Amino acid sequence: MMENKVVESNKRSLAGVQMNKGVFGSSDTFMVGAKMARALASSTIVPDTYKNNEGNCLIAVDMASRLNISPIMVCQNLYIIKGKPSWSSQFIISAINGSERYKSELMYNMQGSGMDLSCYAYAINTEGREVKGPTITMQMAKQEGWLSKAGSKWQTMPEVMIRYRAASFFGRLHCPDLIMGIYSADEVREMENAEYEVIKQEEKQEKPKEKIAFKQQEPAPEVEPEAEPEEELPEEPNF
Amino acid sequence: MEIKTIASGSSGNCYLVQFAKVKLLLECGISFKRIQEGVGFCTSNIDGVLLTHEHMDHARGVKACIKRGLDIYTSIGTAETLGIHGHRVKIVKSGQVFEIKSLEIIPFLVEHDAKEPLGFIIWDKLANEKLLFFTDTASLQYVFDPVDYILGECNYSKDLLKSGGYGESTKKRIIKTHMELTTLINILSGMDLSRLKRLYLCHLSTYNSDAHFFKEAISERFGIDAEIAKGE
Repeated sequence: MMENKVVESNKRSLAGVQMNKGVFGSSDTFMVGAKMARALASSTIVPDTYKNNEGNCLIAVDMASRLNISPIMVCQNLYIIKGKPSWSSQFIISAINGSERYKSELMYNMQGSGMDLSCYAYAINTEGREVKGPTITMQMAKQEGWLSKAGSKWQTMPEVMIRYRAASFFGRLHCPDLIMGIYSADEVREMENAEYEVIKQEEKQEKPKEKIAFKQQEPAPEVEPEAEPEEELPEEPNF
Repeated sequence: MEIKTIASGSSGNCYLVQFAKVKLLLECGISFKRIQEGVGFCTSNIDGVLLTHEHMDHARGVKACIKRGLDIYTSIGTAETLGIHGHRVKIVKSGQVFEIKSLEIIPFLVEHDAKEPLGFIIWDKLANEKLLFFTDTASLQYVFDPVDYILGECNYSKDLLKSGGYGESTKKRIIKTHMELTTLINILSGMDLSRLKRLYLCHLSTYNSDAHFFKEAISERFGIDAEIAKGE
């Protein structure tokens, strides 16, 4: 009679797999990430970009694991605009504030008003030194075309947008690892129109060109009359 | 044929052309006072004004010109948009020849965001010289007779436009409605330039053009010394 005995399964155990290097670190991390992505994609309370889209969810899981934050937070704050991932400005600010890299939260120095408004973001680091981001101005916003885009929030809430932009520039300059160098959603939207298509000359020449010409002949050029042929002289008689 | 630039560019365009026995204004995009200064206060011997389209940098002075007795030759679309009419407004149509004294002129449609924008090819029968005039157009889809003079737009280069300070919507509009350097070079490449005596580049953008670079590019390509149509 056969005895029951415990048989070790050949299935690989995924318990204890470390995800802090992202889902693409190893086949184990990929398998774990893929399972998480499947679960997220089947959720009804994730944004539409992630619903039933395991690929987008896998990217969200990867970013969450690298940043050591919840994949739900990534889903709620990572927008995909024309195939480019972008953070909400609020996420960038909260990532900087929550990073423990700075003694203070991110602060803003605002000067001027109207079209003279300028702003830079700054924070005090652990050594007590002020770390300053690039200065954003309304003139810059105008020249970069942020102001002129249809429906631009720069026109209706410039003081909010200038702070968001200053925070995004600060993050990309001083702590790019916190936001993985990704632009804010507003920046990516404004970048959309920056790429214009140059219509190749070959495409344009497909249509046959119309001839524009004057029907009447141009006055004929003056032609020199042909010289009369020389008369042949008779042979001199032989005397 | 003599061409004098009274004004050229996005703030106003007006050119005085002296043919053998006819004097024309091409465009009237400046105040009548400036037109008078540009023609030496002799507006009475101007035989007509060719007007390409209704944008104010081309048509600012049109109503004053009409009041002062100048005949305006333009498309019906342009005339209706400007609200000009009367016996001084002569309606011309793309592809249809019309005459001003010893000149035969063929208007042709161009690519611009206007109602019915035109360019003109002008044949001075007395001098047997032809002038091709086009401005504010993204391209030209025509085959022309060999001409002696070209007064044509060269508004921007794509590199300067890309790095320039205009907003994206303005950049997009410029690409669709104005002549880029490479486009002009391609157009000239398709033309018979054997008779060409002078090439004038007009309507250069203040911010997205480089006159010296444009002249060098044309000279390198065609061995022609282009002139920049610059106002006084």
